[in-house]
Amino acid sequence: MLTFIIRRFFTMIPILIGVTLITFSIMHLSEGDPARIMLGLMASEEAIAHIRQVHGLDLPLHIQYFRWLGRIITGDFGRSIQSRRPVIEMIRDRLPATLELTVTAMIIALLVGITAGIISAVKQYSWLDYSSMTFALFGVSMPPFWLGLMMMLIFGVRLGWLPISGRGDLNQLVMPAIVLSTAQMAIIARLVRSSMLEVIRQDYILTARSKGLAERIVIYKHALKNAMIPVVTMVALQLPFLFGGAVITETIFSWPGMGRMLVGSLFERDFPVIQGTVLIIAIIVMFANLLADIVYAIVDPRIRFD
Amino acid sequence: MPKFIRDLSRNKLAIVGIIIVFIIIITAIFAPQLAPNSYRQQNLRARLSPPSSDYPLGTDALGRCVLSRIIYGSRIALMYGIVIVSISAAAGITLGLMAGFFGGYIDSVIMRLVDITLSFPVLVLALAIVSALGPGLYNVMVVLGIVGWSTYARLVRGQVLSVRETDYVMAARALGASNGRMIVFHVLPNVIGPVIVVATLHFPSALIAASALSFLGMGAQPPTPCWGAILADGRAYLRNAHWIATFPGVAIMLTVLGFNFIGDGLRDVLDPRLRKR
Repeated sequence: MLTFIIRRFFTMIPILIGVTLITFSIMHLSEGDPARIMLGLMASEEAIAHIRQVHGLDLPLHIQYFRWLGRIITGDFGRSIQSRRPVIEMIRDRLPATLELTVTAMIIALLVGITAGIISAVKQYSWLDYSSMTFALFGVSMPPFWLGLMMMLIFGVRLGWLPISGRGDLNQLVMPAIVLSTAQMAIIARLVRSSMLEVIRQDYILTARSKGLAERIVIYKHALKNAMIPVVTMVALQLPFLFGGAVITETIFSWPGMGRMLVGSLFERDFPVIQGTVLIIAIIVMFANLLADIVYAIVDPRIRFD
Repeated sequence: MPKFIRDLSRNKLAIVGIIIVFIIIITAIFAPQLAPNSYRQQNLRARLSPPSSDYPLGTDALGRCVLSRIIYGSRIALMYGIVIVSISAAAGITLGLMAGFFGGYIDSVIMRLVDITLSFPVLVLALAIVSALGPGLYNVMVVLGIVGWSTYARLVRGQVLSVRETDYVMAARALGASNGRMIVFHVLPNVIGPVIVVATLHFPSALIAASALSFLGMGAQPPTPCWGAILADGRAYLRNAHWIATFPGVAIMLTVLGFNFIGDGLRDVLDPRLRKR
């Protein structure tokens, strides 16, 4: 198992280099001089020349990349053009809110999605199956920004049950977490259903039933364990979408996380903040994928020997 | 009737999907005839009017007809989907074919590129790149098209690996067919089925991503009637004019549902193992 983890860890290195290369390139995709973008249109030529020299913007691109990489490795993500605060500090302030939202959303999605998937598979073609799969179809088809606004309208504005923005109270987390979890919930429910249907047709399930085991044990102890293998992969594959969705959800509900910070910095072309946020999100996704692979190898021992 | 069409016509959800998509295509083509008003004409005296006979889905903050803007917006929505899926599929299929067919070093490089792309949330990466290139309809389409290639590449590579060793490809090789000929005439036709399913299911997710970028102000700029942007306009008037945000969202959801129904139907037809579930 340890060999598997070490091997998997080393495969991350070229990916990490690629991720930093893409993140570094973002600023250089924009038209115009990065120094002028940093200082604004009214800046004097002297000030621009000074910034260019300080940030090494007059150096060849590959040298700039290695200097930037060197700083990133030591945790120096630069300073925000707008607030002049160190980017790493801004990320540290915002990351807990984003993690709180995404982790809650994933827990809701897993609980509801797995339950709905099992019920649908066990009670195939029943009204429960049809209604949960209809809900799942709508769940994957609803744009999250629209669902967020509609929930705000109904539960916040009309009924006044839940606050429509901010973070602090548990009830402020309800709407953003549900909005962020809806699509994932639907995807997990559909996957668990089809995976369970595949598993409960296997011979070993027939054997378990013919031994006289209670249906509950057959389903939860024998079938579910194997039906969960594709779910682990799917959860890992869905993580980037969850972070993408967090950008939208945080913006709608004024949730003070990294997504909202990213959107705020886009219009100000605050590239150090944009680069820092994108890089941190990509690294979190990479490590989450590594964790998922390890869980996958634990759940399905064949993977370790592949 | 070919078996594929016969199977698809028996799938009720796929039929519903085809009908929905057909209606949206017709709406996009005949937008000038179907729209009750101009999509850009402002009537400040009728601003924020609720649905009425003059304005069936109400008006926005500038007194523009919401229904007309949604009808014209269907053109942008379809364009988003078609352009994004075409760019992603073209890039992904080409790289996937190369990775699977040539293997070795080419395969390793392309698959590492796939891993790198998959480490970024599509929306986050697209937002960052579009902000660098500048907001706009075309930048959104090109960027989302480019960042979406990896799913196709991975799928096609996997398919090619299984097709590459089949007897008919070996026979073509033995007869002296060039690599290009083998890829285009023998490998590609045999891997295209699953690609069509993925493309059909990619269309709705591309539409949602593009609408999300427009919602955040990075997509089509005013007065272009883009569903995501209309929805964003309605956000400020949720309390007193909810129709501005409600109806474009319904339009996006119906379009996405339609394509999801077709995609699911196609998958069931092309994968017989799933048919009886």
